[in-house]
Amino acid sequence: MFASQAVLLVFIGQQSQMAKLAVSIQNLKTFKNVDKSLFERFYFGYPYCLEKAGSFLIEPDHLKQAITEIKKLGKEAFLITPAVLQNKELGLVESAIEQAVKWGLDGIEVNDVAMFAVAKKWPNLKVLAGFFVNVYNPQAALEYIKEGATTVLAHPELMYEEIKEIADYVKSQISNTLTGTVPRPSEWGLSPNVEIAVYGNLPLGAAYDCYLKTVDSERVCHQQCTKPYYFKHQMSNVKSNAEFAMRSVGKANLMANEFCLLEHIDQLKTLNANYWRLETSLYESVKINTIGKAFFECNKGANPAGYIRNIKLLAPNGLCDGWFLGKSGHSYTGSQQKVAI
Amino acid sequence: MSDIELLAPAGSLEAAQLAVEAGADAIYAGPSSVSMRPRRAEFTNKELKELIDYVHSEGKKIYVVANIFPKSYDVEYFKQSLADIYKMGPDAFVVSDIWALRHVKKNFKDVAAHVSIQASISNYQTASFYDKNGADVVVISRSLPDFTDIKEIRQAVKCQLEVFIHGGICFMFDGHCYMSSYFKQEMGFDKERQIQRIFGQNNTKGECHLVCKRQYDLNSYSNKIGSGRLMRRPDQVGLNLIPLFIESGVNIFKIEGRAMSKEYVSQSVSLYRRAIDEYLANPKSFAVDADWAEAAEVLKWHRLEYERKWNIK
Repeated sequence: MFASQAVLLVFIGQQSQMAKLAVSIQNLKTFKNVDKSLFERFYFGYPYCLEKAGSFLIEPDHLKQAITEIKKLGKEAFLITPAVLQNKELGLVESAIEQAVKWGLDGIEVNDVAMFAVAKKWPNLKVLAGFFVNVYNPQAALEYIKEGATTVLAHPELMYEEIKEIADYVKSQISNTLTGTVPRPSEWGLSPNVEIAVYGNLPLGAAYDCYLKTVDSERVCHQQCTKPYYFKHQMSNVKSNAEFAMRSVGKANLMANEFCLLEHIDQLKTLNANYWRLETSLYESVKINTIGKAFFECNKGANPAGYIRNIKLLAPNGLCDGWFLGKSGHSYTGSQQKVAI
Repeated sequence: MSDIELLAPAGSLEAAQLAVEAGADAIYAGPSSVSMRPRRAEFTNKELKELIDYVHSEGKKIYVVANIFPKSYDVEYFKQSLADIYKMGPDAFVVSDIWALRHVKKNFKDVAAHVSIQASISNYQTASFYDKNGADVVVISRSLPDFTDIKEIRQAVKCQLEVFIHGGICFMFDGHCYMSSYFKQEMGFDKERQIQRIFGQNNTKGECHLVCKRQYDLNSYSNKIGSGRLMRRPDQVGLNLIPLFIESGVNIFKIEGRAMSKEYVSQSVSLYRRAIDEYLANPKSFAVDADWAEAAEVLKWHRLEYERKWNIK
């Protein structure tokens, strides 16, 4: 490696910037009332089920409206593609992307590696290597970048130090110099982007079939998933006799506690991520705006203590800090424990 | 000679010996810390060398399962582990992580690379992704609803296709489950690797707390909808499906159960050996009759129904 390249790599790896907020929104009704000024990137859709009524992926007119509005604001519009696709679903997703590209879609979130090949049909389409492609180490992140990922979501099952290793490594890369990398426009910048989940009922798994349909002997979709269903388990062999809970949305289980890193925002900033992701596809606009405002203001320096109380009021099952501190995912320590930077 | 292969699990040398005696064509086993199974079902390098030598002495194949998603601090250990095992002469490494696949292809060119069930390959584009990345075998997800899907995958790839034909099944797609570490994980000292690390992670480590097998209540608002082992799925018994799988282009039938007893391994291998051989000898007249004694014995090990009680409907 030439010395100048080495210097450039160090420079890219060390430059710091303020993370932009990214938000996931399931349908047009919610989108209309979300405060767009808080967010720079919008993820439209729902990764768990193609039958979800109103979801952007199966409502092209709604998607068109949302993308058109976002592009007028000069912000980014992404389409969430589902996890673990079946053969018969590939065509539907691909045609949704094809249409959305014409309306100005900036990128897609890939949750099945199948979509990397599909995305290559549109060279100017950005790609997020999303939650379900399992980025657990820097080397895997690099392989997905070579497959076309322009942003990598470090898997939230990792703790701070592990996320930092991925973030530093990804940001030290120069995309168009990597063998096998899909060429990208220069205006996208030299290095790939890093995204980190900071809030939401994060997925705990994608299920084979809709659990809530199995309650129904005729296995018909009645949109039960719009109601809050919880699996509850009485924990034993632990000091506290706490109840362990997970939310069922039919084709996935999600955290019952809402994953929140607001009280770790100082540590978050040291990761130098490009995007902080609010995984809010289940929420109404009022809640999204409250959470978005909290992260927006705290990112600029406001004290999280002033915002965390409001967020807790909106979280019916309380908060958790997930795996960020290397503890059981459902526990919450908040400001009581800080990650050593 | 048929190119259909019966692949048996081994959590111990004894289990492997019984599987070979019962008619397995190949054995799969996991080395310490890099496979998705409890430590008691994994092999130290010394044990693995003994296992590989034994399996080869019987003229069978041995596939080494290295299907964790390594974390940053695992990567060097993972690389060293595979390099050490490579010298023992395995026939294949079974991996999940995209980097691990490319690492095997780049560094161990004379060893086959299999993509694990953890990749949950459910469509032809995903299978094609791994095929183009050098996979010699891809394991198809247990979720595929019909055989047309498998035929479409067959047409899209050059590599061999493998299916889990028999055994326990998870609630979530393999490799897409993070419930275990949400339930419980903690920092501890790994005596074997002499490092401080997190224990109790499902997706990356195979240290599953079997969260989906536990007792739950299902509630909505204040109503209890159901109770019991609500997420526990019936086990998979694919005996009657063998003809359809073969006609769809499947090459390898895998029996699940590295953590199961050696008696279970022996009985299940014996049963599937008979079924495959009878089908290949007489495809048109193949049928599993009720009097197959082996079937009755093997089925005793399994749950064939959901264990759910609903309070509504």
